[in-house]
Amino acid sequence: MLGLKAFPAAVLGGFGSIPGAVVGGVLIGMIESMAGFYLAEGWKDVAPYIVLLVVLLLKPDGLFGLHMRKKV
Amino acid sequence: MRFMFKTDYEDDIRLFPHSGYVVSYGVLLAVLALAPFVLSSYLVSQLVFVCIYATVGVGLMILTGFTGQASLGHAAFLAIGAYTAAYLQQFSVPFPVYFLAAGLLTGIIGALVGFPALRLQGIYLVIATISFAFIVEEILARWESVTHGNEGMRVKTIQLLGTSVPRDSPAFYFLCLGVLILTIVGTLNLLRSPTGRAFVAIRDSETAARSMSVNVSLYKVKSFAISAAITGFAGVLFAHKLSFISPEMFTLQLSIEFIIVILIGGAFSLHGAVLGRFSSS
Repeated sequence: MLGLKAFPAAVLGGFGSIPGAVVGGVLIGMIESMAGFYLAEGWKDVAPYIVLLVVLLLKPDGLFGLHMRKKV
Repeated sequence: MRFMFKTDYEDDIRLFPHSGYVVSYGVLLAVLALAPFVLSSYLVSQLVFVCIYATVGVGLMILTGFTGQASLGHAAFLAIGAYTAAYLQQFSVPFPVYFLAAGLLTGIIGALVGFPALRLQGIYLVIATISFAFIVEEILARWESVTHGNEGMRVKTIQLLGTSVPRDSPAFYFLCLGVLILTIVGTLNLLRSPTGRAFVAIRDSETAARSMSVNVSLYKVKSFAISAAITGFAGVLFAHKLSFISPEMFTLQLSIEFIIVILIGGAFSLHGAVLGRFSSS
């Protein structure tokens, strides 16, 4: 279960970016704890994923990910 | 191995390239049709699961194998199909109606998932679909007025054409087999149509497909919707087979199992989707 939180953390920050992984990990952890405290029960487990989906919608390569050009 | 000399396009897209296929599939069909009268009820029950999982496998194959979009969220689509069936059944909706409704609803949700997935690739898409599956799982556990939360839902026996189809009867097996065969034939037809060709073009190279004027976004969403709808149909049968569904049945592990099914069988063939399920059961 812990590994399943680590993956979103790395992806949130941007895969391939080490500062991104740190920021992503802190963000996921903070969001999870804050949601557990302020929101109704049940939000704690899904809040990180909702935030992750929103971030991926706005920035498909994560927060600090580099956009890779693809050759054809 | 017979040498095939193709002289025109019709030869290339034929469902049965030569008569050997008709014979071998005919024999396979006959064996499958006799199976419930020969095998023990336990083995028939396993065959039913093979049919259901293979249906999901074919659905996932359209998305992952032919359009090249990985998904670890198919357990959620299966859950949506299963819960739609269980919910509508409470209001004594006839089986064909809620069967189609489940597929339609799952297809629509699949398309909605497909839209955000348009800009995502590779690992980002995998994580996004996992997130979707987690959110659905949590909704199923919390939306108690509809899904009864973690208590789960009982699913009654299928009532079809005035008779009931118990979950361990040969009739149920034939129903699942029929759905599987329809799905496979439908998918084969889809794959030799312009839509299927566009899927494969997107898988091979998105940029190349776009420069050949394939509407990449449209076809990706279509692929998501079709794949989800097929999984939704399988979900209805899954719910009836188990006769009880609860949110913890539709976890990430199930999604991974679906991916395993299509990877064991080979990611680019429909035979693989079916055989993969046999070997993993």
